[in-house]
Amino acid sequence: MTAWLQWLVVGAAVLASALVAFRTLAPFGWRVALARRATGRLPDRFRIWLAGQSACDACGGRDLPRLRRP
Amino acid sequence: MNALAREPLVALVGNPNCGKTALFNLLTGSRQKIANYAGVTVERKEGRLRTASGHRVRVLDLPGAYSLRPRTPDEQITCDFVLGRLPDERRPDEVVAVVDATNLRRHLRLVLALRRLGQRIVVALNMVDLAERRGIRVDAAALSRELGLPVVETVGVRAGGAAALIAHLDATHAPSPAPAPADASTAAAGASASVAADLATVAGDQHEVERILTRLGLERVRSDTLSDRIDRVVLHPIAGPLILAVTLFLIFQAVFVWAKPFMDAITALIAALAGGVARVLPAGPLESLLVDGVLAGAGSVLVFLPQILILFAFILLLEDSGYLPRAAFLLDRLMGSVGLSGRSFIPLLSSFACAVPGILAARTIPNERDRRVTILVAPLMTCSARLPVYTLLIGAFVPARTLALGIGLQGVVLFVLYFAGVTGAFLVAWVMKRLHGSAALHPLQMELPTYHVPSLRNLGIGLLQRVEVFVKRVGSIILALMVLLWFLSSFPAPPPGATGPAIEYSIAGRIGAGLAVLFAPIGFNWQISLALVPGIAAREVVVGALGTVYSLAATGSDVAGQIAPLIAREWSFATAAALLAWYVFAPQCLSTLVTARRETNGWRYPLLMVAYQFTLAYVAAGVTYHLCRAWAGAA
Repeated sequence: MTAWLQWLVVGAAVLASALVAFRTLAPFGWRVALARRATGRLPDRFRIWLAGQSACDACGGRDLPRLRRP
Repeated sequence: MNALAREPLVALVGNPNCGKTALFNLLTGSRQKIANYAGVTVERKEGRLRTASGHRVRVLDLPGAYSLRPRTPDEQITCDFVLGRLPDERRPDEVVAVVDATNLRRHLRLVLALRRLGQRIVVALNMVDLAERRGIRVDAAALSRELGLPVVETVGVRAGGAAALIAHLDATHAPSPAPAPADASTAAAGASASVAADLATVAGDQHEVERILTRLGLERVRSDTLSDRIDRVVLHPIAGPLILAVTLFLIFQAVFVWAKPFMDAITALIAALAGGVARVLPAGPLESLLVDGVLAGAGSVLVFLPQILILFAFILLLEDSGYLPRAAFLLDRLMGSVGLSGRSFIPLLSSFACAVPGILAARTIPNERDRRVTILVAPLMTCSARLPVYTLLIGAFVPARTLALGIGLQGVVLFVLYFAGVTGAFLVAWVMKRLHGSAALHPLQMELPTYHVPSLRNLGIGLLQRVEVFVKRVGSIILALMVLLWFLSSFPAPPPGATGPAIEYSIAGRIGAGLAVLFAPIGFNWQISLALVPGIAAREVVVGALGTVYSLAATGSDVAGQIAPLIAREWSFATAAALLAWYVFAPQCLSTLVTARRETNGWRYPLLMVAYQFTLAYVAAGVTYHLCRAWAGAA
């Protein structure tokens, strides 16, 4: 495996880990705010994941339209 | 109108411990926690049932309630829902009134109160198998005639035990438009009026229940003599506490003795994987990430899965058997003397798994002061996330010596640590009592359920859930934190001519050195100080963090999964003992704090928790460290 490919995999792993850590540890309000700000820039499924399933559980799916609007 | 609003809504309502959640699991295929004591469900749970003819029905499992006049926050949820007082939820289209066939005298009172609401009701006569074994034959058709309501027989703990209920729901809930909002509000108003009138009818209800039982020939139901005989021993003022202490003691012995071969196997597997990765990949960042970050970090936490499973197997067996409410009864006087309510026992017991469900379970406590004190002390119970830390340190520093009667020293130390957590919780509760004044006396009223032979199915489901939770945690947040810690511990690279280990020049090394100033007085080196930081996210992360930090500081790939011998060489006994003392009182993980904030409606209590636990942990670790050093110096 070439050195640049190794660095690419390591970089992706660190970035993914930072996202998982943010998603797990950041306050609920921050996550929802970030997910709303990313409307149109990131796929909906990813934004819902970032906000956390609890964001959807809490509203029974009714808050999704609001999540889509910044 | 969306699809959710059109689906018929059915709510399971009944007294605590009548088997609602077991029925809910059968109806919806869910795996919600069930146990043989009251107060397991404290939040409403929702699932979906697809009937044989393809109808979809929303099913809600509600916390147990003895009446429609709530005394506790969990009962309030049930009453508000049934009475249509919740702003975002319509009233159920049908209430499934779940009753315990072995105790109709108490359970029918709630059915009568529900009947007055004028709602569609079906009575689920649950636990008919248990009733028959005890010689109680309930004629469902006759009961139906007496109540004027449909009655179906169910066995919540048997596959297919809800067939009659599903058939009833299938027949009565063909898809239909949801009631108009005006209907719901009118019904709610009517329901409130019915509740007011209900106050005058308690005696009438009891009289009506007696009349029904007489008509069914059940006015003299035999008590469960076997449970009574067991209770004569288990609840004996002297034998009872002894049996409880011996049971807990044996559990901690088993945690060490039985888990060892499985832990050794996982350790060997991780070491083999690390060796394989080192052989396949050239030395470089990816190999270091996999060996030092993933395998040494997350792998060293995974090793403790067998111990956690053994501990939970015992807790699940005790839960399912019906022994745990007896333990609450035995400890009631002790808990009362330190200012805790007897009802605090179940929340505190739940906290041995994790403080989050323990704090939620405090909703079953009617008195607000008692509830808040219970929430404050619940995190002092030793949660399963502390177990990896304890067993790592005990394994490294306490010899695997057998004392008298085959009792292992390591198990004894683990028992003492759990005991220290409980003692700490009682002391803090006592201090709260002195500071806030003595609460009014709230005598413990708790149903002692019939003893059951624990169900292997429940045990299997419970253990599978624990495996799922633990592996998911290791594979998500713990793995993510280990990768981030590896990154912070690996960069920047040491300057040319550096003589120390590379990690000392990294970002993490510098953070650790900074924190060590604060923690050096209690004997913690910079590696421990650094590991405490990600430990705020989840306590077991400290084990993985130590694995990563020491792996990067060492040469070769021999550290993965084998951190115990390494810290045994590097640390003094005083440091290890101080870290154990720290973790008995260690400040909260973040999810506990967030839950406490939600349950107390503010940051005051969570901040108080952090402050008192940090102070306690620091003082306990400092005192332990200096006592151990003085003892070692004198020896």
